[in-house]
Amino acid sequence: MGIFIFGTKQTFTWLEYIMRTSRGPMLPWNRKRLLAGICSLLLSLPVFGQGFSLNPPGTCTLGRGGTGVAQPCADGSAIALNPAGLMLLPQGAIASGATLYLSRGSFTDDYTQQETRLDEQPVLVPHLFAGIQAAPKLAVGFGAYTPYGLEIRWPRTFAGSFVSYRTRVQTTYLQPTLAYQLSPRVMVGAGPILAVSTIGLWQQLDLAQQEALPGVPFAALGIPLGTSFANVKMESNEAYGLGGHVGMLFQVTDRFRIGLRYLSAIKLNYTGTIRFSPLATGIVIPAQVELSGQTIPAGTPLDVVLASLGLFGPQGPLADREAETELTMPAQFAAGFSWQATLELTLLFDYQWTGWSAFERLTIQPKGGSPIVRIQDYRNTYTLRTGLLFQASSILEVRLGYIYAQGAAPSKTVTPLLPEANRNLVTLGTGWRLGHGVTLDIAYQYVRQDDRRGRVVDPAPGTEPTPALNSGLYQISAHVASVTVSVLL
Amino acid sequence: MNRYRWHMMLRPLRWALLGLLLLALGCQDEGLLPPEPTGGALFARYVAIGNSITAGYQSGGINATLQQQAYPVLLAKAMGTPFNLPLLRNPGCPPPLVNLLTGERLGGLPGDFCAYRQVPPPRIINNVAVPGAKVIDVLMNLGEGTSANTLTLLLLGGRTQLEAAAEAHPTFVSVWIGNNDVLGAAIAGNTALITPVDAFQQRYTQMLNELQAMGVQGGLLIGVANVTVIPHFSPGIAYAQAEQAGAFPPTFDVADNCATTGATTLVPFSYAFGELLAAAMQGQSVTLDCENDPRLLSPTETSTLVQTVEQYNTFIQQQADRLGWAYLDPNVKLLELKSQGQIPVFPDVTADEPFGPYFSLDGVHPSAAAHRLVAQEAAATINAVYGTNLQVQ
Repeated sequence: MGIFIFGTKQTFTWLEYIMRTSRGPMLPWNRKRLLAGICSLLLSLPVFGQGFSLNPPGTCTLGRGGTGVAQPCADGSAIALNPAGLMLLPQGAIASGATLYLSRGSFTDDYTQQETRLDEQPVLVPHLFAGIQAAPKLAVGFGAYTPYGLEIRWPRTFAGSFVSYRTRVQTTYLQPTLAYQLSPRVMVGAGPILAVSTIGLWQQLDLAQQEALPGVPFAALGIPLGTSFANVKMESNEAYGLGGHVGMLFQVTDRFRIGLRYLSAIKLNYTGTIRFSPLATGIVIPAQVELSGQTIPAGTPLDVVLASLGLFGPQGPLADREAETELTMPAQFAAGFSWQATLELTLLFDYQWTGWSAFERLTIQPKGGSPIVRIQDYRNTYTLRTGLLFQASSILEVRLGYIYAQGAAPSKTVTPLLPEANRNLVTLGTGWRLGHGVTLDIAYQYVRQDDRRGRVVDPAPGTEPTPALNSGLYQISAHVASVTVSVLL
Repeated sequence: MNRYRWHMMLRPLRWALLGLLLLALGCQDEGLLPPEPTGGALFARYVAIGNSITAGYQSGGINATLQQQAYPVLLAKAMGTPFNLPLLRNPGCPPPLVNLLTGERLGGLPGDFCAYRQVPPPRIINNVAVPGAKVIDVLMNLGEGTSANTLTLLLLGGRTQLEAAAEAHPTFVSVWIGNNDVLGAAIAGNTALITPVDAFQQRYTQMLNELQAMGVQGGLLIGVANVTVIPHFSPGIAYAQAEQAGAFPPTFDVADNCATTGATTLVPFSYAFGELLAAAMQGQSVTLDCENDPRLLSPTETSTLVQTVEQYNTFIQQQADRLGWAYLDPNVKLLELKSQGQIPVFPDVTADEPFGPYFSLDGVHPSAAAHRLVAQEAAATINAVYGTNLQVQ
């Protein structure tokens, strides 16, 4: 039967990854190098907040469940927790340490019950804070921290690899900070933020979904769904954005303090490149077929046929392209209190609102082509954090914490890109004063994300995703361990 | 700080820690898990392996409507398990016959028309059967003795049946393969085309071994049909009687030996009608010779075919016993229908059902009613072995 007449004209409209080139703000070479050096300390972070937000930084803060809006740790991390808290530093402080993240996760297919595990690689993330009392009522500091970041890796054999098998968002906030004591009971702080960010998205292309003839996809010719034939790597250059962070502390009583902070949203415009590389389908045509009037004998590898189409050539539809996209790092508002119940016990509570509705969709604009739109429809979320500090002795503080983080993703967008859900986190930490102003902080956190149904495929082009596409269960958990040595100056 | 004070101060922390751990560990939400098949966990993932019959081929064609009438679809419904088909778009690939006499196909389209596959395709295919497949084709697409065809590409995308089956991680399989290892020889009137029994056994064993390696927990093996019983084959004497009744044009002669010495010779419908009668209708004088025409099945050849089928089925039943799987001999029902006259000795080409209610317009492939019958027999066989309660409506 002469039924397979492939078109001579290729119609890879789905892959018009053609980008407009635009250049972001340019920095002097040496400053860029400095920033890159700082940012390199904060790369490759897994997700442990909500959306792609991360825990508040620092080992001390981690041990007490991320609380600290009303009482930041005395290690300079107030810059990220509440800029006004810098005023609480006795003199000055510098803290250096590292946090080890070991995430574990899997996707279990509803039907086959086959489990695909995340590429579980431990990630070590250094951190550094610094602040000092510059005058009796004035403190200054500088922080480089990462409120938003993401690194998700699945094996390439994962059914969801056509949505994404690796996603990376790296955003570092560089924040010089001033804190001022308005009155004995009121402190304020603020700092501008320069956000430095890169994003990366790796995925495979499914031959079944591509057009062989106008209106006839390869799937209609029998090519199985999930036949990878091209690898796609989209990586951005560094993008820069400006924002601000303000905070305030009210010393209500000697033992009770209230804190507020607001972190502005920062919009980032990325430019980058999409690179395509061919992958072998391994399919051998089992019977003689007619293609565009040519007879292809049985036993011909499909890859030979695809190679003859010149898809990846300089003029082909899968030639490397430039692209641009934008992403908004959402705003945060947090309020909290600290209450020193006894000389030994202090209770902390924080509420944080995050404006995740800003992450409505991810639009990648290929140069000269149609935009590729990933609908996310995130919702604004809240996070509740509680912490308990127990001053066991003059040199030892024991910390406990619990966090509940509401998931930002609706049921329809739980994908390999970010299989997100509500999370419960428990933390345990300790701070041990070694003498001479040196403190050793150690913390552990266990992250338990609610199991959540999700999908491994994208909706058909032009259609909205729905929970009906969900075909399995994402299960994510993580262990986090952190060590910091801080020095009070 | 003395020990008592430590204890008192840490006590609330201890309880707080325990509470936090309980909160964090949480519980598995049963609502997140997929439902179990109503027929039991054994049928969580059912895959059907086979040839044109299992694929749903009828009346010389196949399309989505016919695919959904196939016995494994009915069986899967009884199991209450999802069952995805590689559905072909209507009118089919090729479209089925709608008129035996004129050869008209659905939609008035030619026999080499193909409407391709429906999209989007299912992620997992449960009916991996391919029309034309012999046992060797379950194992490989290329090589000596294989018979991969366009539908192998269209239905399975170039994978073998076993490769496609493995993707479903089957818990239960049905296997009805082997009919084409004798059918081609029967239609061609050449027993040399029969797959030798030892080769059949070797390939069948390899297939079962590979299925077991997939973790299959249970299965149903269906024996090879006695192809000499199907209505596509009529005895020579039936043609002689039809000639006497004036069923053929004057240019179509049935030799006397068909009514006498060649009475038990079997005549393939596709040869007698498709070639001889077609030529006679064009005005060419043709003769159906029941003794000397190599395209017919002599009694000896028929006996060879029947014995081969028996040897195949003895082996298949042994394998089912070895594995503890169910075995269904289709020939029991086939012979019963024949003896009841439900399978006509000679086709009534003017009737709506020329080959009776249980065979489609090509006289080879079962009709929808036959598929229902097969599904009922299969369910009963499975129930007997596995203690299940599958009921085919």
